[in-house]
Amino acid sequence: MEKSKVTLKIKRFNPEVDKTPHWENYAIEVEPTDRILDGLNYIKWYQDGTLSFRRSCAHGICGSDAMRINGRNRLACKVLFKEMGATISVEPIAGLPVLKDLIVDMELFMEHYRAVLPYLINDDPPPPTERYQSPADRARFDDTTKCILCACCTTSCPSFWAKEDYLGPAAIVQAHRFIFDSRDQAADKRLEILSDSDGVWRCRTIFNCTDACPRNIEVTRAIGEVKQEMLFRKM
Amino acid sequence: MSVASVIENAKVYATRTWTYEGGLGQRAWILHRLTGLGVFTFLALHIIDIFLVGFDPQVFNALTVIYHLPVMRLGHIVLFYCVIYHAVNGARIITLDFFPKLWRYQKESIQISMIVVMVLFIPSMLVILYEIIISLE
Ligand code: FES
Repeated sequence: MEKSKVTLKIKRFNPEVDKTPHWENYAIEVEPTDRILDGLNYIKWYQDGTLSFRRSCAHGICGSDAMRINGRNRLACKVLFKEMGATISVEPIAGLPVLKDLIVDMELFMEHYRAVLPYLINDDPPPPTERYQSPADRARFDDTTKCILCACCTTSCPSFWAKEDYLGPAAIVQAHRFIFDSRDQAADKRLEILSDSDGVWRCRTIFNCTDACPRNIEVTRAIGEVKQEMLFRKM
Repeated sequence: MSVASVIENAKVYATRTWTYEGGLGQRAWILHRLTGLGVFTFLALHIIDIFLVGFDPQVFNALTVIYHLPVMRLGHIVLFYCVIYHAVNGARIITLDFFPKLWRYQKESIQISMIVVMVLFIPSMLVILYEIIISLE
């Protein structure tokens, strides 16, 4: 396949020398079917070893290479050069503190994740075989099991940019995954956590999260279902 | 929080909102906020002028003259747009919140609400413009 020249415009920030981030351009040759991650790797390996970014699986599963590519949150390993044009901007996801270049501090994000009790809670003694769940019951929350905690959704959300205490779409998706799990017994507890002013009601139904999710989770829908559950559960 | 840091945060927030490549939904939301601010500004003015009636009716009368200046009446058109858009888009969002299954049609829902806005707005704009022109003659 024929190679073509592209320019990667990367937002760089080194906390040891820089006061504010700045843009730097890198000209590279890529095949149209190369991924942005390949381009970043090439720069790091052959042009500028100081460029820092996270990546691990390179197959859209670990969620570590979420970044803002051409203005929108995406996984660098899931976007091809042919989809992005000749000049491509790459910057860290917004709303979390930048540690270096494209690496952000995910602690706040994980804190919100932990806040919704993202694990199965069931105090009944385990049955001798399994906790049975019908295929229909399993299907109820199938979509939200796909989350890889990459933070693309939460850091695309204007409500989160405005108030970092907002739990954010990713945490709500994780809560949804257990609230609608027929084997779980702590839905009430989670709904109470999410009914806080920094919970689900801070969502303004903007849909940036749904557009940004690299796993195609129907995020806004999941949030809507949690809102509904909260309203109608007691009725 | 100091004033400087509040301004700085507001600047960061505005740039982020402005530059993030969100979809139609983000643009609809930005417009929702702006029109909300428009309605709020008018309401605040209105509260102040009504307050002035109790204070001194003369001042209030002087103020209503200002409201009837052609320039201010062009402002009525803006106000109409703000109220109509804010109401229609608000109703759209409430609908989506009550029927999350409709998420697939969010783009269409925005397009439909834009049409409804125009159907309500254009006639009211024409009426106001007509009145302004008549009053100029
Ligand atoms: S590197 Fe694992 S998701 Fe992209």
